[in-house]
Amino acid sequence: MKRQQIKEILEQLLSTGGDFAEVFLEEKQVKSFNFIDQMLEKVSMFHINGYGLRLAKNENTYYASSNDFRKKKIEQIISELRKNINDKPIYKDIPLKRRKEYKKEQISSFTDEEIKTKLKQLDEKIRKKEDRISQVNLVVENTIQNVTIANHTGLYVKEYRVLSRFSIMLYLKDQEKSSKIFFSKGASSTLDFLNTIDFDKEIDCLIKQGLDKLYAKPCIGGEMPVIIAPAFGAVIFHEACGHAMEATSVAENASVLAKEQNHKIATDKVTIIDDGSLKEEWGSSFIDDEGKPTQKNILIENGVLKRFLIDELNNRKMKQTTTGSGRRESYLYAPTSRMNNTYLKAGNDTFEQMIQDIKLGLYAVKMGGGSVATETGEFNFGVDLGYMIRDGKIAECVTSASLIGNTKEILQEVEMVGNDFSLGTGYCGSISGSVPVTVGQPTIKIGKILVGGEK
Amino acid sequence: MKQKIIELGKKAKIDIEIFEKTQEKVDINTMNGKEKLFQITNVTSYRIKAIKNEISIEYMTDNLKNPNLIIDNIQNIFKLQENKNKNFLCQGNLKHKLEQKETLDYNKIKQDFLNLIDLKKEYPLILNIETTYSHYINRYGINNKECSLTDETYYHEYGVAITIEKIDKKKVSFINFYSENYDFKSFYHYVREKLEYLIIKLNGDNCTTKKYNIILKNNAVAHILNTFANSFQSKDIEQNISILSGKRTQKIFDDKITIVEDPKNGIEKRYFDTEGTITYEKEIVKNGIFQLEINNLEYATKQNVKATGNAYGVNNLYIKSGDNSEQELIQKLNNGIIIDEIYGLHSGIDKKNGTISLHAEGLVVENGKITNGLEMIILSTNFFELFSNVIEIGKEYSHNLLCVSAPSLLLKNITIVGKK
Repeated sequence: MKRQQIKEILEQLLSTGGDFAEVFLEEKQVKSFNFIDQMLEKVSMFHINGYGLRLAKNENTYYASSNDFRKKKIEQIISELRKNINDKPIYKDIPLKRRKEYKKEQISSFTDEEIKTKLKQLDEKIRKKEDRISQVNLVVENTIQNVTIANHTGLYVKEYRVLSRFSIMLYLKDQEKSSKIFFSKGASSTLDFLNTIDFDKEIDCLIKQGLDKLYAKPCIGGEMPVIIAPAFGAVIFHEACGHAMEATSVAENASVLAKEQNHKIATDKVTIIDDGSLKEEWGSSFIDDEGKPTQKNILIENGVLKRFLIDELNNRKMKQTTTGSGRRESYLYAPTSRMNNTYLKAGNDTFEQMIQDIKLGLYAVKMGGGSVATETGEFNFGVDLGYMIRDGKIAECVTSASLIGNTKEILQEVEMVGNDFSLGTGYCGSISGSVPVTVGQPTIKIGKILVGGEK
Repeated sequence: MKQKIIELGKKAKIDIEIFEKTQEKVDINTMNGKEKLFQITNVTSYRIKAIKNEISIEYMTDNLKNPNLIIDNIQNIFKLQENKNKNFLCQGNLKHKLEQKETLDYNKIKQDFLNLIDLKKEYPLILNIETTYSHYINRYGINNKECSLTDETYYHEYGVAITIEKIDKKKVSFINFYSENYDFKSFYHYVREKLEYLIIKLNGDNCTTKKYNIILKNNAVAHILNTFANSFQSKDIEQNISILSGKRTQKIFDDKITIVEDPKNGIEKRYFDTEGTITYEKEIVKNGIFQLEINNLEYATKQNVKATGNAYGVNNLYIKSGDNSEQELIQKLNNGIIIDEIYGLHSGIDKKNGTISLHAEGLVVENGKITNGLEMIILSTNFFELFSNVIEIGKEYSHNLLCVSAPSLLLKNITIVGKK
């Protein structure tokens, strides 16, 4: 779509009195390699090319998405959107600027054949290490996404994005017992990021964890202290407070934290940051999906809630400043405020200090994701790999653990924060679809939380 | 353009089949009696199946503008992919037209959802009501050198998040509902029922960790069954990643459990799957015995069995109902717990070893009557225990998911974790 056509679409959208209009163009190619049963079982290629048109008047939003670029179809869609508004035009001539472009290298030095060879070698290496491995599933995925965003203010930007991800799912079996264990890493860079993974270290660690899980005992249920390992453990903050700080819920007073700005909501040890500008991180981009540059946002500082994550339209109700956090899975979704790379700043406590006084507790080593009701702050997340703590020592591996709690309570229970900070990657699902996110933290100690278990 | 790709394929000795899906969708979202978002979607996507020397690959795109590039990409996938399982193109012809299509007035529908705010008059505890509504019209088509299949489906999805508040305490209920034809009346009835439970839970308590007899409400049963739905697939079973690997013909559940997949009679009625296999009704689990794996053409060919028409997964998977009303189940429970909400299914269930550890909410039943609410508890069980400890089955089906439904189950000896 050329500049003149975009300008005309914006002007047509606004012709019945709308006060916000946006064109979002997306072209995306996804290629994934699925290695299972000791072979490259499936290579998938997926290509999409579509557009989203957004029109707003005051607090009402009208959105349309399509991949039919015929002029007649676009006109029909514009007509469907603007008939919702019946007022005098506010904007007539949109001063669309010269397009600003944000580029990064999108081509990997790995050929497809080299990726296939690498997966074959990894599969052989993993299987040789342990007889109880019943299946190995390796996945490499590369996404190239080019987005163009223009709006009624004259903003006109384009970003060339790239995302790559690698994962291992190990299945283990010993007679009637079976387990599975997962490793993944992603980056907003080409598949060259595979060179940054220490495969030997990660495979050894994964097999040990898988074997522990294979013979795991049922978890003991009840309220107890929990130590949560670094990296993806921070999903607790993503769920417990991150979502409750998104304007999506705050603007509607549908968040338990909506009225807590500048209030002390957590212990002094809690400083939480969301930063979509971290170099090559999985949740990073130069601009958000509304065309604003991403930035570092300090959400909670020493326990005090400083700011929310705010997108353009929700800010109409909040009247603060946008934070470069408008995100969407694809052109099929209208954007809204979302997290990018959310992390808890490191502290100074040691693991020994955390564990020494615990009579009975849980050491949550690997998290499996979670969910939250932002209205009440009630959240849950699964513990994929955990160990009981007995009398200050790590004891048996346990299965079927989950943790549930409440945002306001849990933030006051963060007793210790370690200095072994690292990041983990995942996906976050919400009203604007599934987006890549990073979470991060050092080891932390929660004073008490409800743990689910069979005993 | 489809014919051009099929012709180009023929020249390269590749048999091509194109599955086309066009989706038209309208979304209306409201917040506290005000319209928030009106959205229209019109998207076409293609899944191209290519077969060369009986080996098959897939390529997905949302446009066919560049046939030569598509053939090049397909050739590249053939060079890389190592799966040598045999496959073939669909061989049938079918044109299914909707017999009766509704006439819809979106303004009237919008008003129905905006009017939900009137519940506030009856229930002053309500703080927020956020609603979502979607109307889907899907058109499916399959073309290869010999065959042509077309179908058209439609359905409605309704959602509401109701937050209630008393002093400083808030409770929220997320309610989802599907129907084939627009049926606001049934949705409204369901919302009121959930709201009554929510209000009881506002004064909810916690419980002692122990084994209880419980009623697992139909919406929760459906969620759990849905999480394990792929476990019935031949591919997952053969690749040893399903909990049901090695379990075929074995007794896996209580005698009372029969699980059926019947795509033609679901909320969205599907007459053929993405590979053109005509769908039909089949019993996957009969009286507790796992008797039939579901499959796609690749695994049907590999195992030399009839293709079940499940290339996309399941479309209408359900547990056969019993004859107990919800009230009869409560009376039969007499003393125990009703679990009516479960959360965090993507993280609280291990699909390989079957452990289930889910954040839950519920109600206390004493002497056959609901006496209190329960919150912040954990349902702790596993896949086999859950469907083996069945005492009775309800007769009312869930409507909270599109492709899976279930009745409520009265279960014995299920661990509920509480703070006490």
